[in-house]
Amino acid sequence: MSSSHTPYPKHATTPYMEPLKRYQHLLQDEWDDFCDALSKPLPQVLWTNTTRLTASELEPWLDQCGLLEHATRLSWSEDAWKLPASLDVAYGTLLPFLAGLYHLQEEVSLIPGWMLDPQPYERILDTCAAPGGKTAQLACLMRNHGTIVANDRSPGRLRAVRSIIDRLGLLNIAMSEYNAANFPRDIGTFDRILVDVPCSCEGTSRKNKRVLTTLENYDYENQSRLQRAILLRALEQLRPGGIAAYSTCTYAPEENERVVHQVLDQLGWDNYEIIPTPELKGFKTMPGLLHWEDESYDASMENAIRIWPHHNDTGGFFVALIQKTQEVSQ
Amino acid sequence: MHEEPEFLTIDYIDSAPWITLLNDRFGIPTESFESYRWYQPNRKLISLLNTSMQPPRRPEPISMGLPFIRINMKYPKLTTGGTLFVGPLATKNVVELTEEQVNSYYSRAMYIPLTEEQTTRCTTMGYIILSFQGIILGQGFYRPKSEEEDANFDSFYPKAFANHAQRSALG
Ligand SMILES: C[S@@+](CC[C@H](N)C(=O)[O-])C[C@H]1O[C@@H](n2cnc3c(N)ncnc32)[C@H](O)[C@@H]1O
Repeated sequence: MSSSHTPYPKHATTPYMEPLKRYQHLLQDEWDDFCDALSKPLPQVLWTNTTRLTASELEPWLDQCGLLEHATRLSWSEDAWKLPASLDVAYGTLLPFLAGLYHLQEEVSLIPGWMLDPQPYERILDTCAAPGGKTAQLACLMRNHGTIVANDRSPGRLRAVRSIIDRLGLLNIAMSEYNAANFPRDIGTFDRILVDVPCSCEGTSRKNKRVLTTLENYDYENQSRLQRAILLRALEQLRPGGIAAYSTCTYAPEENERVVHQVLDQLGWDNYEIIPTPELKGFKTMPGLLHWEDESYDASMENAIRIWPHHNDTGGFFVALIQKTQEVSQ
Repeated sequence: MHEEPEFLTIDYIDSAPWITLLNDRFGIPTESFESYRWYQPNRKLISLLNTSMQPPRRPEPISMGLPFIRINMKYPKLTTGGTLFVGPLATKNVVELTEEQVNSYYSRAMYIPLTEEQTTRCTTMGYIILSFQGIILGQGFYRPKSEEEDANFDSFYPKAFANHAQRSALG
């Protein structure tokens, strides 16, 4: 097997890393490790379509495709394998993929759905669902029962959700094409809601080298306005006791802690709380920030998690689990 | 407090004729569908839903469940997604392919020859379900052995999926 990837610029000192330097003080002496991790291509993760077969039944297929000897099960999920980025394999063209036995996603993308822990007969909302990897994971965790309202504003991107539904054989998804910042009340209440908002995508630079070049003068405030509106609307539709996972693939506190803090400020901290995330066995996470620039966030923000690429050889990510404690007066 | 809104009322269709069709052609046991609902979103398609689906009234879903049978054709046909889903239950008109035939299937080839042994579970000319080592791959169109030609099949691997496939699907 050959490596087809050109290494990224060694960039602690190159302009490539400039937009991320604002996080240098958060990482302190880990900064070089962070830069190093970003200079390497991202491992691939392949997860079992458990509505169709078990991970041990998938194993012989991975073996037949020459993947098993290179694969390691995720430390925190028995159903998924990590494959080194150096493997030059078109995973999406292999028979077990085409037959809907597995799906591909990067490791961090599997975390919010897993933490949300949807149960088979529940009613789930996925506010920003396309291209649908997380929706599919939720559908499998629910064993094809219950309801997932998979919404996205982009019709083009919803087509990708459709093709995943077909290939994996998912029965519990209703797709809608709507502005999630503005859902009508008739959408009903939900047991759990995934709020995987559009963001600056800083944490995806190992997959998409260009992303960091788009960040110069990035308008975090404008982006976070939409994120706040989407999160607010989602939290209003949670049933009492229901849980939402707010997630982004960015390091920017303006799109993470600040969004969660401001929305809960608006909805009332008595009605919602940021709850601890379940432990990801063998996977290192850092707590959400309590301060950024001249701002402070609620102490419970420590329950949110930040994922830095150099800790687990992944992309960057943020997840906050928010539980509705009682009915909010409208 | 706001009132709990009603969910979308779905007009399920009578599944009996379709279940009979799948039983006749593929030997899929009729009781296999007890935990599903059948829904026809438009003139072209029937989708399969679970029984616990509670979609919202607004925003009205643009699609629900798994697109299952294409009905705007002379002989209604399982979708590829539908075939992958129910294929494991089929007991006739199922053909186990060789690795070479698998690659022809993914290249959307026509007139792919079949050996006599491969066609023992086939009945008449028409749709067949294709598998490899017991895993369902999709559908084909079967032509039995005749005076003019040996038994063979055309790949129905959809064009839309085909750009995913490569020459050797086992790497
Ligand atoms: C981070 S991506 C979601 C990824 C998806 N959850 C997955 O795992 O495949 C963000 C999505 O939000 C959608 N989006 C952007 N603005 C939106 C809005 N106002 N309402 C609903 N969706 C929106 C985008 O089209 C994009 O597909």
